[in-house]
Amino acid sequence: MALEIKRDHDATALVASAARTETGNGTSVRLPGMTNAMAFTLAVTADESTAADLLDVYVQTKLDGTNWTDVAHFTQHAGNTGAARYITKVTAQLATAEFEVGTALGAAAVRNLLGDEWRVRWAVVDDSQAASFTFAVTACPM
Amino acid sequence: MALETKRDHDAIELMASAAHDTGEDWLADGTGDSHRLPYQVNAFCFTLDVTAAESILGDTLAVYIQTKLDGSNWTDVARFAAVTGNGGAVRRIIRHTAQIATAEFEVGTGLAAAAVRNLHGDEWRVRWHIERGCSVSAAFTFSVTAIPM
Repeated sequence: MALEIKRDHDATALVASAARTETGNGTSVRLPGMTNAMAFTLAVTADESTAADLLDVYVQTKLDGTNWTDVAHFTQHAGNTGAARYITKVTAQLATAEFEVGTALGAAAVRNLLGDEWRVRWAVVDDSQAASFTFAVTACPM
Repeated sequence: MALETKRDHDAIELMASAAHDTGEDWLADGTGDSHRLPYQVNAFCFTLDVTAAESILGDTLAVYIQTKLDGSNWTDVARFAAVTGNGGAVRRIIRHTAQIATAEFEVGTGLAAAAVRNLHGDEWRVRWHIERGCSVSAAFTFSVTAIPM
């Protein structure tokens, strides 16, 4: 049997590109199972804000069928940074030390856990009273 | 069930052997065609085979492997050590592993020579960058092959 060849639709949008002005989260998405790892791409295409306006984007997964857990936290994006694209990775074969789920996940950090469902959540700090960030997040299994 | 036996055609030519040169320009950049590689493998091994370097010491060749992680954008995920114009034929091998971590990065950050980002996307290609030193025209003949493992 030949090895399966990678296809276009393996890259999956977790949240489509849209302008966000408030804290929120995306909808639940199923991704391929039993993969080695997942790469997540955060593409910030517009940030019509000031340096004090802040965007934090997290990838969450469900490990118990019920609760969402943060497993990736992108670098905090300031409102005057301009367009940027960040890539991070969670890996099934790597260790993750025990943690209590209330413990915050630091910026640019991951927990190497791959659950059943996935979603994105984001936090917007609106210092200027006009913060707006346009972004999308994509997942790619490997 | 017996383990599947590795076959010849698992090795895929990302870029066929050909000469690339700067002509009279100081720099030359190029990219190869997009390729699909097998999915859910442990790792890829990429081989850069430079068979001729009709250049001198100051001429350099940088070769990168790129992949698409979001369906749209090419990202550098492996970069071979620089090839110098007076080095003669060389064959460099670099490995790229799905199970190893890659720290978060912003894509504008350059990838250093002989470095990898352990990310496997949907499509793959080669890009190269040639710089001419004092020669009349820096020329390198090379190919790149990928093999899954």
